[in-house]
Amino acid sequence: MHITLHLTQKCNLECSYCYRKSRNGEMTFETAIKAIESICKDHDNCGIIFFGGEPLLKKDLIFQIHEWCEKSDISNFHYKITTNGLLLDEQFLKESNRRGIHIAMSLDGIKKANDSHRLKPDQSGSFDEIFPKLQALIKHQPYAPIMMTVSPDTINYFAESVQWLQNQNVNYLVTSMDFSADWNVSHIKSLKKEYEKLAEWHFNNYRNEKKFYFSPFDKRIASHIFSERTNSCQLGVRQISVGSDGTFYPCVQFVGHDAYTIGNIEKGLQNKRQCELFQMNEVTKSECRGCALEHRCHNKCGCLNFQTTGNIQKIPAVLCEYERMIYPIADRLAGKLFKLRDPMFIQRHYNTSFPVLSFLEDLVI
Amino acid sequence: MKIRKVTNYKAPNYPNLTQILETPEIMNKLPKRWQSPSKWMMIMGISTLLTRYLAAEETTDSNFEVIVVPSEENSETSEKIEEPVEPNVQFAKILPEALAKDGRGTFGCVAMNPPTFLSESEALELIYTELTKAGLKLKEDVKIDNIECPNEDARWSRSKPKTIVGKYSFDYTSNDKSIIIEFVSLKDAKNWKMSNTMSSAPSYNLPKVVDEQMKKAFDNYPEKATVAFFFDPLVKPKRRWWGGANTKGIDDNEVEELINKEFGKKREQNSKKELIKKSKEKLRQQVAYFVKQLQESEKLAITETK
Repeated sequence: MHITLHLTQKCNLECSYCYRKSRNGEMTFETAIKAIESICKDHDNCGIIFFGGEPLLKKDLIFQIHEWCEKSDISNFHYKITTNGLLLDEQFLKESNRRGIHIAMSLDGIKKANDSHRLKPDQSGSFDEIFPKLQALIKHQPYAPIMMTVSPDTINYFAESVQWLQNQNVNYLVTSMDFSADWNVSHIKSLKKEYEKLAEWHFNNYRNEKKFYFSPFDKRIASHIFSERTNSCQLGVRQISVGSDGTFYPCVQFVGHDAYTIGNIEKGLQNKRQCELFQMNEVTKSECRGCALEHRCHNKCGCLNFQTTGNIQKIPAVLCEYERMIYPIADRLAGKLFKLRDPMFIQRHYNTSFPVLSFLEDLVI
Repeated sequence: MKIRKVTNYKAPNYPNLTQILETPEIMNKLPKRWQSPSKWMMIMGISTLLTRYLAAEETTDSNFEVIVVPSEENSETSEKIEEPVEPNVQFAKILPEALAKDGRGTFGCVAMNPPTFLSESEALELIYTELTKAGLKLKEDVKIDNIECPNEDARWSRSKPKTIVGKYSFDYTSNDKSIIIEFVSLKDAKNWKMSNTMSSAPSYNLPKVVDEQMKKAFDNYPEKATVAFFFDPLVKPKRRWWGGANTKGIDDNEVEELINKEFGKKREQNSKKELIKKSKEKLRQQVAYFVKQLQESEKLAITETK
């Protein structure tokens, strides 16, 4: 179970694709604790995700909540912050490492790509300020996930950006497409070319035994290998978002949308509503029934559907085009690596102890 | 751009996890930098110590065992083989088919394919009938001492030990208590604190409960005994209940109505009686497999059945 605390709705960036509904609202310590108590009490393990707006505007609150959780007996907690990185500094990074708080940072790649959408309030790009923060983060947390959003107008920088990030010693890259933008068929074709370049590059990563995690390929390869696992986001079950005022939502994109509340800190979780939304999301869409990729693709990501079509059950056509384009590339890459019995490919994807072994390797060697 | 079904998709030419188990030797492929024996041994050594340490912390086990990884220089000394000591308690093997598939499922309002469970009385009646038919004389609900029982007080605490040594009531034993029988139900899984609750939908993996928790109950048992844990097969309906739901062109509110309708219909179709019958058949197979083991080890005479 993960609980995402929207500590503040304020942000020091104005990214063009941001889905925040409200720009005001601050969470208090009491609200955060009530939410954690209410949601985590029935779970042996609970992940606390500090989210925003920009959560680092509330650094003291993060540490206050962390201290409370560490003293609490209700669950075993682990922690993550999702930040734009602008407010990262040495002291905060050291303190986060000491406390075991993992940091994930958003960055869209090279300057041209990043500064197309990740803008400061004066509408200037944020890259120059963020770049030194990236270096500091990777120095302190080498496996920190970097989260990149690709928009139609940044497609042509995609492969270059990914490789550039690897050259900055990034080891873990999660990419998302801004499907709420205006996509067309030629964008998908351009994206395909970029992915083909990246498939060749990732093939060489494996062959050279580099431990680079690239979500668009590695996640899809895993969807075949772990075919029995559901690829659904399990809307409102696996992760619950808590708005600054203490209202519960099934995912981050729903925060502020009253029609999708699933409880609050006073009344707790409304199980009936939670079930309804979960079930609505799990119903196989008639247009997907019988599709060979039905159980692997992201058609059941209710948040993505909501963000792009306004309806958790309505799949955007661009998602379907995208998934049909990328799966064959990912499967071809994996097939080629397996045929060569590539050791890194085999260990990473079939050895369930790989994360532990990899961690120890970094520690020892 | 269109939503279009993929009807012809070439099956990926790399195996899934189940398929790779058929050729486990593939896992011997190691990255070059892991191939240096000293580094590899160091990694494995730390990994083992770490696992042991975490396990010890989890169960607050005071018998923390330090594993010394032999270095390459003195590996000769590691060849000394100690005589194996026969343990007091032998656990019956679990029927391989059951171990591979049965005893797993998720219940509750958000469960996607909830299985059917047997009541304790249904299961115990079947076990009793089958074992007595095979010639075993059984005593019911027998309390046995020196068992590592779940510690109820530790339910919400991380600091208290998860188990305490005491008496535990087992479903059946032979007259001399040399054979101990326990049926693992969902209730047992909860008692042994192994349910993995995900929101309002608790998940169960009963073979895991047996392996990781219930066998530990006999860690300090001083007597000789053969112990058999049977578990609820948790048979699932064949189809997911929303399998036939047609949601094209309807809005969220109508979908809710449709869900209720489809849910009701599918549950009716997957007649509960049929599923219970299947569960009982699977449990019967577990018992028969145990009887075979007792006969092979000459702990039970083979009885002629007509």
